[in-house]
Amino acid sequence: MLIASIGFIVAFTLIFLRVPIALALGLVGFFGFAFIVDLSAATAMSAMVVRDNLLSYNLVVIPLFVLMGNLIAGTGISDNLFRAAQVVTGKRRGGLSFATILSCGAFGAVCGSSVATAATMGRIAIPAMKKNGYSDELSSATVAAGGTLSVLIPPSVILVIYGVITETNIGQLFAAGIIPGLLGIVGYLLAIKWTLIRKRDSAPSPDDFSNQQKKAVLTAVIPVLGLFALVMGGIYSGWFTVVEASGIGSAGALGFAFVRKSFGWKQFLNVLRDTIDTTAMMYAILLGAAVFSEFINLTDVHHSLLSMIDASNSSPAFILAAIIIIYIVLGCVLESLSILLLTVPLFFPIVTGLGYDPVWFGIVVVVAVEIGLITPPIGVNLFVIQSVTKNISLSVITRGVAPFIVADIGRLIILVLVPSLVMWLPHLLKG
Amino acid sequence: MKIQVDNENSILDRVESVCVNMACLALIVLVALTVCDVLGRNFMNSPVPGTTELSEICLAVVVFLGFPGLALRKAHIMVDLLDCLTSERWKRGQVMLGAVLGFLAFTGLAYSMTDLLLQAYYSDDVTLQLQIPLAAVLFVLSVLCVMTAISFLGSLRRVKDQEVSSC
Repeated sequence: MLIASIGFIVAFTLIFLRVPIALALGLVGFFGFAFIVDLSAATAMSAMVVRDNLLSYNLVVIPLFVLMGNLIAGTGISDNLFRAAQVVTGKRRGGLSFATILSCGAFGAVCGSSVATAATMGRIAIPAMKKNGYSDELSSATVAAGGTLSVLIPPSVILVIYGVITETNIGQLFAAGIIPGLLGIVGYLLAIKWTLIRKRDSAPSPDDFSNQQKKAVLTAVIPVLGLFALVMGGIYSGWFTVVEASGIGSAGALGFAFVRKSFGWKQFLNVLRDTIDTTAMMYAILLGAAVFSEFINLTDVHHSLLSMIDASNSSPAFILAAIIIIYIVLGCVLESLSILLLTVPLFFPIVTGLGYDPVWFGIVVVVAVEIGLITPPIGVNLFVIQSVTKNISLSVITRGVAPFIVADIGRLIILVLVPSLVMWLPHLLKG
Repeated sequence: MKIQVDNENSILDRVESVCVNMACLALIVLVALTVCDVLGRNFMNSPVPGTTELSEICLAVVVFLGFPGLALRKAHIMVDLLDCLTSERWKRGQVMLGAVLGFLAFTGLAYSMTDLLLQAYYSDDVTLQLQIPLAAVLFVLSVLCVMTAISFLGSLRRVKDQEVSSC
């Protein structure tokens, strides 16, 4: 217990000293392991961890889903999605904000990355809202919050990684993410409504579309919806495994990209390079965290914690609440993948030991971490929006995002209190 | 001296560029492999032999070819939360610490991977279906580890000229 605590403290210190998270976790894991066993065992362990994690077929989905999302983002289809969502929301006050949330949800369905969704939709939705007289507070916060939807709406890269490290069925995790993802959309729409009630001047009514325009706009998004249907339908009909679906999805996105005249070789190369960078970054953290978790497992801290919980007679709900609060706090200072990889090896055995379902816990963790994506001071999406818009200050975005954080916390409480909202769809699809 | 630094960096840049281009190629192969396998299995009842192991190897190659670039551009994910509270000199020190630790970590990893590759070589370890020697794959990964370690050192030379702060 003491060695594990020291390990966590050293890792966090290095992380806050600006050492790359992957290196901080890997080095602490390596030297911790060497301290408990010996240096040669630690050397052998790190090589085995790298080999096992790299030569792992399930993890092939990561670059393929990242590529699919980057291709879709690179084609400019997000603009079509935004206009289609405008058609759906119609001519009501704040309609562009509602449309932003819906289009973020739809974009998240083909792009597993929160940052990519926030950056892509931010470039389209914020200028449109600005042009129509929306306040900076509402427009920037809407996109920052909307971006988080892609973390949960399948296919989600974070859920894939959770599935791989906990050996939980990825197809079930994807199914479990759908209802909480839709709840997230509803919550964000309510948050916008609340902002509009409080500050009537933050959004005017948008112009309406003619019937001909509506038809053209809705027709333009059919290929994206088709791609989503192909990937998810393929998985649940048993046509493809998740890995195969990711390959088919990225090939479909590639075909779709090349059909569009605006997408050339230069953009294609940029998309490939971005995908390589993102994949390598994620794997670096994955490998570092795998070495760290070997060290944590060796300390047997899980059993010590479970014994402590038994001895304290605390209820499982109390323990779960404490774990969720830790996730929300960590979400404010670290990015989501690192939190997941750093904590899941520690908390997963405890939570499943208390009798909770691993699929349900995965969704709860992702929702809790999502809150961190829009919570200051680190909230990654806040910085993404600031970098996209340049002239909107962080304090303005932070003020605007408060109702969305409240909506997220409300959703988290609902999912904890009513687990069937998460588990109904996986059970249904499992038959 | 300045010319020498530029040359060294331009060599690293060129190596990084080659690595990224090769990684792009491996990624395309990965997509093509998966699609051919699914189409072959579902429509022609003949999947591509050894897709699983080829995909695993492609993945490893994509990831390790991406590492030198990340090291050189200091593009690894890090927390710059305290940047606004610290001096520029302190920040440069932090970036240097990260680069030195990166060099040590990847040198160590290259060493342990070499150990693993020797074991695979002497025991003639091969993949199950296509009989690809694992030692060859591990050799490539070890070389890329060494290149990543060198790239971390190369990134140290750029710290002086770059804006470190995120504030």
